[in-house]
Amino acid sequence: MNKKIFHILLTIWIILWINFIVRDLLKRGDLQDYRALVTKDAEGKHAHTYGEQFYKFLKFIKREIRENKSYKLVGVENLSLAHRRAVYFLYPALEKESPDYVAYYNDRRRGTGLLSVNTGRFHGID
Amino acid sequence: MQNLILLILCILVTGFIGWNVLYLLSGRKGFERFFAAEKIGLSYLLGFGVITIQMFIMGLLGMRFTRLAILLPWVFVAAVNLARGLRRSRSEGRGPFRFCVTDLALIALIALQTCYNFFRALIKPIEAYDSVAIYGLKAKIMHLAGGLPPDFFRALASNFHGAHPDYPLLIPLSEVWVYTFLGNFNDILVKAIFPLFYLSFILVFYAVLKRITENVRLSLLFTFALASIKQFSDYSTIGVADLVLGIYFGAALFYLYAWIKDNKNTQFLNISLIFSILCAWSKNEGIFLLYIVLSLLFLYLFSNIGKIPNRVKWHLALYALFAVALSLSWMAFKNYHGLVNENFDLAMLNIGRFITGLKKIPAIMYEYQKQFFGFKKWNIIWILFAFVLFKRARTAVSGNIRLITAAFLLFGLGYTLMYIFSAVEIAFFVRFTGSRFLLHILPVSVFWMAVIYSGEGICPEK
Repeated sequence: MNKKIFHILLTIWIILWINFIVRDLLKRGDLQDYRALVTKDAEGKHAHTYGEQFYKFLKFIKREIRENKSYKLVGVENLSLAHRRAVYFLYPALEKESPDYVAYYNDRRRGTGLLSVNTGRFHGID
Repeated sequence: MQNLILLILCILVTGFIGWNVLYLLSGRKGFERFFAAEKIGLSYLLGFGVITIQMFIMGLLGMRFTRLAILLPWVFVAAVNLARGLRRSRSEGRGPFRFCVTDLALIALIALQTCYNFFRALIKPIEAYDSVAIYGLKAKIMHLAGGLPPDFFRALASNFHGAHPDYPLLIPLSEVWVYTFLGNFNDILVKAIFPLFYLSFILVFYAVLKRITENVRLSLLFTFALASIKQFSDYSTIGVADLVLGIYFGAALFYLYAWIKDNKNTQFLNISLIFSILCAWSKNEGIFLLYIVLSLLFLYLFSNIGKIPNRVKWHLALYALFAVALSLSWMAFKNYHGLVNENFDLAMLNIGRFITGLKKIPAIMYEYQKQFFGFKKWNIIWILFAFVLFKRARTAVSGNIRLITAAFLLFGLGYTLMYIFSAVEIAFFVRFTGSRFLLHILPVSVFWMAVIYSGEGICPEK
């Protein structure tokens, strides 16, 4: 390969490299994200990453249901990223088809909260 | 703060274990043939590999994961190594650290990218799709159980759709090791292991290139090229196995190539063996990559049968036997536990499926061309790759580098066949896996280009 071509390619490479880093930071909004995240503690980082409202919902469910109980999510699209994060976050509680609790998220009828299947009591999130 | 100190300690201990494994594999003289930075990189990569295998065996034996139980065997290994002269051992020559201004500028750019990766990894908890759905979830289950629960695989299959219980456990167990060392569950700090994989590999990549090409500038340039590829650096921040698999496959082939170049250094062959086994321990596709390494080894053996001493032939036979035995054991283990991959399984290999699968080729080709021109993820690496292949076709199929060229052929063929035979809707499957799978071969591609152009004088050192 000619040295000149090599230098041109290297220049193109560096321009594209910088371009894509800057694009992500400015256009995709990563910079704003990082600025918000950098001052937060672990709890805040989770909340920001999962979405403040969704994280509040998950924390609420985790607090309300006991570890060995099961739940079902309503209002969270099955196998979506939010669903995966919820299943991961709520473990050791398990998601089941016939659960002990039904967790509603932004449900049109019930809003956001937790229904105990055994008692029929619905506990809404504040 | 305490967690951070423990994390640093955990990484140092892991590196120390890897350092001992490296010494064990190389012997004192062989150990001294590595550069200092290369030893650091290799120690980290080996450290996580062997600790996770040890934890898996402990888990199968019903042992709990505690710091003491995990570290105890390594105290004996370290004692044996110290007695064998580990403390007095040195590193290769003057090392690769004689740089001019241009070289230092390249090092600064690599350092910049690495720091940025660390920042991006540690600013967020584990959150990407596969990181939570597969690796993070398994790690959490094992951490909370304090070991490998007896019904781990069955429970995974029945309770978590798409958690892939059949996947090897290198990444989840690496995370469990960090949690165990920290003494608590911290899914932010644990992500430090991924940019450290990246950094360790960058050190190894540079050192191997430097040894093979004997050109500092060229080695730094291609190391920078690899380090700055967006897909490669992005994947060092999210916590999935694809980058690690690419790293182990790359290391396995680089050291195989280094051994072929200089047969006397059997420590390179041993390192290559360990890394090819770690491919199979990283991801399902790793078994196929392990067999690519073995095929190349046999290709070399048969084309040089008269020149290779019997002692080396025995060494190679043992190498192959050991790797095959381990991969078959893993497959038997999966079979015993009924762990079947829903996307692709060996049972899917039949003529009927192949014929119907041929219809998928346009969709596969469409995805390949998308990746080829995918500047956002790959910069111009695949265009350069095609350019080098076209311009230096003769060099690519001659000498020892033809083995690496053959690896591309086997890789392309194998992965395309997997797509053809797979049970998943093809447009969806290639869209979600195409760019990840290319990571498996990326380091080898950059290495191959560097070696081909090392004799061209395009990159003089002064």
